[in-house]
Amino acid sequence: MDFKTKLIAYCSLPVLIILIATVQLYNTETSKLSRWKGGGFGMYTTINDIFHVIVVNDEVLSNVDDSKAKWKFIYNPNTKNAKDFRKHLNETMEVEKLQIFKPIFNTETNQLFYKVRYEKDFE
Amino acid sequence: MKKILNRLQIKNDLVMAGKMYLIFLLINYSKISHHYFFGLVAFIIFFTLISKNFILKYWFWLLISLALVPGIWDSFYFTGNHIILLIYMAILFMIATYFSKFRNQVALVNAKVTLGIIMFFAVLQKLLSEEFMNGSSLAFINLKGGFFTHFQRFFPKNKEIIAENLNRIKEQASSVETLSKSIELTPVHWIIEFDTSILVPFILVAEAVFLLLLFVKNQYIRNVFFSLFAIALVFTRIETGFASLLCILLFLQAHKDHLIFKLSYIALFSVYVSLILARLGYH
Repeated sequence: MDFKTKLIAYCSLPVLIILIATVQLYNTETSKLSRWKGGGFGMYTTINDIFHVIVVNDEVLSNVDDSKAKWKFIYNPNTKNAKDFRKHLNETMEVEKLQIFKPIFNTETNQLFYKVRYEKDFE
Repeated sequence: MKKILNRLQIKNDLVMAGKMYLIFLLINYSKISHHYFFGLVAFIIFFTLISKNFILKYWFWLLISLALVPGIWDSFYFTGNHIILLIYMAILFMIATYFSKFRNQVALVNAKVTLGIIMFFAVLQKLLSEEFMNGSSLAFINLKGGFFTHFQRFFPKNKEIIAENLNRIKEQASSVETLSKSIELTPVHWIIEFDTSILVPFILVAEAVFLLLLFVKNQYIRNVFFSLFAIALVFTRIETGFASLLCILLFLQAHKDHLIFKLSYIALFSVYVSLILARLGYH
């Protein structure tokens, strides 16, 4: 195998994986993308986002909704995904405010509480 | 034992790994399929049924990769990492079969490097995560019964505590008023009473050792540790989906090693896939 062939055979896949994982890592550090998703191999590094709570117009949203728009919003909350999720919810209700609450666990006191992770006002 | 081993033969490691991969893909594809691509999938299935050596054809893996792309693209930010690993592995098979003269060597190196990158990023993500480093994410998983799921039946008291904790979590998340209040959860201990934050350095060291062992030539140390790692992954958290793919990569990296290690990865893969099919595992 010559150098060029070796490069394709041994480096193309690693470069792709490193590139995707690096972009994911950059996004988790600079935006609200979950460490669990997006090809960065950050599973079990945080409390799973399925335990995050969506609040719509100051009311907790029931867990019945299993739409793609909901999971996109939970795992990667940004303006676009918030708008898409609002559009999805607007079929059944008028959405003025969307929030995601994140669970925080204190290991010393065994206390669990929630704090706002993301907020979007549509008014 | 030697006689039994002599009777067992794996003619081609890449073909064996390809078969394992295709079994896993069959179980998972419906989760990530894209309806526009049903024609391509039909063609792939037809071809696998009528062709003898389809696994060693690079364009077969190219078609598999193409059939995966739209589904993964569509669910990239909410699908599990093992699904993304699925496409990496299809590309791995494609590259290895393209260089047919060196296919086993190309597969071995790419499998090793892929495992190395996964472990490197797994360690890096943990080091960067405050929740992991202070032990709170692990403690929360434990309190809600995320560890030793299948063994909870042998610990009825823990099962009760976990159910109670889950009820409290559910109740707290039921309204905005309760969300603003703190609740106390009961600790869950397995045989020995210890703080889950002790596991933090233990996990980091285990993953770092995994990474380092990829460079170790001694097949016994390397493969015994890798097998134990793959077992521990499922024993503690029923990560059968990710562990199944890990077994295929581990099998490929053991290309030059003793048959017994290759068989152990095939056995582990079979157990994990069976757990998925029996709905005792996740995929």
